[in-house]
Amino acid sequence: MLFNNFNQLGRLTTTNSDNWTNRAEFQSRISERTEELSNMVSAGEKVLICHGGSAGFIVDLFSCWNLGVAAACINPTTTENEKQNIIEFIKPAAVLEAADSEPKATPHAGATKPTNLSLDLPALYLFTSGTTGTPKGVEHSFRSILARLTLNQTYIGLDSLKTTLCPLPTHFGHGLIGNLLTPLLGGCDVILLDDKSPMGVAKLGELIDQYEVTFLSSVPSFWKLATRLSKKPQKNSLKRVHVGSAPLSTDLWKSIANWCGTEDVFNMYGITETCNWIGGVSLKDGLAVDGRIGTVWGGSALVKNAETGHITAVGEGELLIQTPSLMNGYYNQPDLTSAVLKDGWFHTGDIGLITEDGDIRITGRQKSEINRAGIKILPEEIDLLLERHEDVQEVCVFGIPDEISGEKVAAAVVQKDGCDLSGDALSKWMQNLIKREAIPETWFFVNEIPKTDRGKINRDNVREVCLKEGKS
Amino acid sequence: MDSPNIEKAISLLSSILDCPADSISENDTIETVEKWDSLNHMRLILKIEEEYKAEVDPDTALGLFTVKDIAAYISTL
Repeated sequence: MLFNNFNQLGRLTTTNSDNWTNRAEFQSRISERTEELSNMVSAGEKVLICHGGSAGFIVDLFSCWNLGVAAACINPTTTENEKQNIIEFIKPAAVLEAADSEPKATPHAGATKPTNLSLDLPALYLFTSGTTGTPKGVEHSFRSILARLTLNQTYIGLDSLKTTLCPLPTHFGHGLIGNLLTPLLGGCDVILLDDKSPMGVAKLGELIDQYEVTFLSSVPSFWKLATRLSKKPQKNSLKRVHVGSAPLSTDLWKSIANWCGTEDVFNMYGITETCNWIGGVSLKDGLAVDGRIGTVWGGSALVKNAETGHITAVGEGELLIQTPSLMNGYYNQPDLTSAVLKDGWFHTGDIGLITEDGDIRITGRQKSEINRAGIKILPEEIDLLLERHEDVQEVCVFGIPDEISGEKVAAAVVQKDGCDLSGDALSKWMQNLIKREAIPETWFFVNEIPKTDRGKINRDNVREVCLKEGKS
Repeated sequence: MDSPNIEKAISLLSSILDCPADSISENDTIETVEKWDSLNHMRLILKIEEEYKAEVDPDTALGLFTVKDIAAYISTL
């Protein structure tokens, strides 16, 4: 299969360990795990991987790929409720709960007909929702992952990636594909940051010096903490730094460059649907303005005018992207897929401005998702969950601006007559039903949810009213 | 410990964490309050800086992991 030789595998360690897993050890462990899994799954089937951030995760992922099996990687903190919902939806043949754990067969094993190995088989599922209703699972083929890894390595350069520190979780595109697989499959060393608490972030400068880190990528909120809590690295080892998954202000951009001691700090643009980064620009590349992401790496961009619907190469409108690393679609959701994939172009839902020379600036967003510190949250999904609560009559979830995380999740709640709900009570009720980062951090208890004259909820309008009237 | 400063520390935390003040006690720490994560810790630092017109240096910020630590620090401002 695509990754069956692993000749280019680099080494991997975590910051809480002195041991490196090298290529020979990876190859041996992958070989054993592949053998074990081959009794249970075959090409074209799926395996759910519920853990991450370790050499054991890489072993599991590559063992699946060795067999032509697609890996569905989920957040290790996913609640049991969410996990079951995803299992029912994608029907994996086996579940891998933890590194080195015994694979658990599911009733779905053998349900998929054996398939010939092909680069176009599904290889990876990354979930951008899954709490209520139908999960949204982005499906990538081996071909799209290979294209993305090749483009990333070409545009970044293996010399820069030589020693990579990964401070991000490994269950979503930015951490998994950009910060982990891109260097590791280029033969580079990867160090996974284990402690993401304030104390762990405070050691960032020290860790960069200790490992002589050349590259790392993270989200703006991580840098807000790091530049405040950690001393600067002293050895000038950093060659390149990426910041992505959320809007980066020019002030923070410059502050990161100052802290890192290099102007090679790139504002990156990438989406799970495009298999991570598709473009980026550094402070060295000229004008630093909010949202500037430069030109597309190995692809094309257009804009669709919101009023006329005209699609042009220059101007402002919804950003459309074509790239060899485009997803196959959302698993088992043809309507959702056809709404964003049209004639080979991905309709991003982001508003962009493209200049005559192809330089792109992200200026806004037309989709409703909330971006909390780089984690994307669908408000519709949280609405549906909260409306299951017996004391809730109506709810509207939306994002509110936040200095640290970019956006916070907020909810406007109408409670049923005679009830006495609190945000704390609702947060506790949600704890076992949904991942923690999707639980609203700010609650507005209102008499009614404002609606348009057509009786529809406009989240921007609800946010405006709630922020104006304050909490109750 | 000066009680008004404990109350003030709890008030700062409850406003950052959007939870009732009576759900936080004098003995609480970053380990015992689930919502007190990295992002909220940074929000807390910014809130202290805003309210007290002070600049919290990195070493101090990393020493404010308990209600009592916060109360002791704001008593010096």
